[in-house]
Amino acid sequence: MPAKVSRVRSSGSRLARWVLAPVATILLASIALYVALSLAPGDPLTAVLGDKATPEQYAALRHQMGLDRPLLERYWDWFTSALHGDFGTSLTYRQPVSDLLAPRIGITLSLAVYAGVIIIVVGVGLGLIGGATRKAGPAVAAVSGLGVAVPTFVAAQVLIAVFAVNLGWFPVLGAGDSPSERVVHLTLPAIALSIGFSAYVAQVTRAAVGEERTRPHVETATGRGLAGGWVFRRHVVRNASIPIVTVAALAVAGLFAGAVVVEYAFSLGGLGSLLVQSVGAKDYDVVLAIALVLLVVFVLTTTFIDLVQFALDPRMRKGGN
Amino acid sequence: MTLAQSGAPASTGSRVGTRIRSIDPIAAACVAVIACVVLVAVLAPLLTSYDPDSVDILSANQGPSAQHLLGTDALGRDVWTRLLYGARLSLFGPAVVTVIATVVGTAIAVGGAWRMGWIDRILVRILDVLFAFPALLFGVLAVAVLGQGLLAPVIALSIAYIPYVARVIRSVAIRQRHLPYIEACQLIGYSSWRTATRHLLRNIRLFVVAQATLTFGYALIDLAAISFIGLGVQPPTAEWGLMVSDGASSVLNGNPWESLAAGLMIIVTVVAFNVLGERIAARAERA
Repeated sequence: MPAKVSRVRSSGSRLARWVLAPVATILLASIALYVALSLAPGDPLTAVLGDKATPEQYAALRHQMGLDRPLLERYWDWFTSALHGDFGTSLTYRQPVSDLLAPRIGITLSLAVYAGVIIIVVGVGLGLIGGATRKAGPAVAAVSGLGVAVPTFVAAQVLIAVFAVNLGWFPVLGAGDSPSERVVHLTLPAIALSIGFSAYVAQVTRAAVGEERTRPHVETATGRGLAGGWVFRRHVVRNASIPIVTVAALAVAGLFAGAVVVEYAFSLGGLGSLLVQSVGAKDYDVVLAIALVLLVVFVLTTTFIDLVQFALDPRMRKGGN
Repeated sequence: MTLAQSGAPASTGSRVGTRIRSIDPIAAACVAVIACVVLVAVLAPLLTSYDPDSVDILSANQGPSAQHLLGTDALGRDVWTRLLYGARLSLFGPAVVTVIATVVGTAIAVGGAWRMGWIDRILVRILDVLFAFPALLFGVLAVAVLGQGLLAPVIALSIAYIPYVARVIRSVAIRQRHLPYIEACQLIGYSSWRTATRHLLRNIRLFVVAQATLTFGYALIDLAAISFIGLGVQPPTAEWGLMVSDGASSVLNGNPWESLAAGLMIIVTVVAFNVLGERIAARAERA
């Protein structure tokens, strides 16, 4: 994946690129989400009232829930209250959605951070080893090639079968209460979540490092008699860092999607398993709230990637090649 | 000229095939694995004497034996049989996603590269935004709108994978766009449509095949994951992702065969598609 080289000259275009574009993306995507879910077949009122309600009761509740107003007006109300932390009420739990989210965000966040650390250490580490030495290259390629094909949920079952059931080293289910318990409980889920992403980051890192190593400026540096380690750090890794940072950040954003499956596999009560449950139960306020949170995470990540590319690549600042 | 051209498309497929097979043993192995899995899906009834959905509570939760090669599941259904029949839906979903994403993605990429200008810029922006949104999550949200089953995730993933195809094909198409043969075609007086479809598209076909092959692997994982969390293919239908999930309770009781066998099928199939896709991409790059 070659780094994108586009030029950002004026402060106006910087504002547009890093503030207005992300905000516009969040607005448009959340409108699309809200409209799509509002048009979903099945009536939330029937779920509340049951089949025996009279048309009058039906109309009264419809008015009370504000469902008789125009769609975009309802969207704007929802969006502005969401910005204030009010995501509506869950139909299944009969509680404010924000009360449901608050305790669960911590679990998903710790899982993502745990897995993110593994991905960066193992993925970038393996990729650097594979790209730096000729002997390790094929081995790293084979391991990472296998790794990207292992789905999180299959890894989860294998880890449970081996380390939780057979060896008994780790608990099978739940997230634990104290911080130290949580680390133990989240170890297997974090490993399951990070295998595929680590392998992907390793592949990209290896390719980027391998490509940089054959570039003329690196050969020149080696030819001038500079120490191998110094050339590798200053000339190879530095230039390869742009694609590496890009995929690592994309992987971290992808973690939140992967967490949906892993939380389900390990019965962790995080945002992901709540999303799965709410999609199944057609509890739309909860689905919308979690989707909005994840949407913001993704948009922030892409903006972050763009900023980092800008910081790492002087070509983007100077506006020339 | 016209004769040569009209004859060409028919021979294209087999020529691509023979070239890969005669040169690259690893790619050949991948093709063999994929062919086996497809055969298993088609010939499932011939390879087993059990019915995939017939419940037999008396012989539930058995380990592997001569009668049941991979044992039985919690409802006494033969795991080997369900594995074979499960190949059908497990492969059908990704196949649909691959065809739609490849066709639409290639069309957008070639169209954008051809016209350039503001249409291309808007397309790139939309693709960038879609790219950042994980396909899996797109599939889950589609289920919220359209309901459980294979249809919603297949539609969602078809859309979500378009940028993966389009980004690669677009950069290849832009490179081709500046080559002399395109100008030559225009000088002869060929229409843009004819130049783009018969000449540009033909020259980048290996890249398209490579992207399609890679897409299949990723789509298989995502669709199986959605079935695993209970939002995709519904029981009692046999499907690999659902089987991994069905077997989860037996894993805790020390009988992991159902989960592991279905998981292994997914991994083997995805490795075959991924490696084959990378081989074709490397070949396209060299050509």
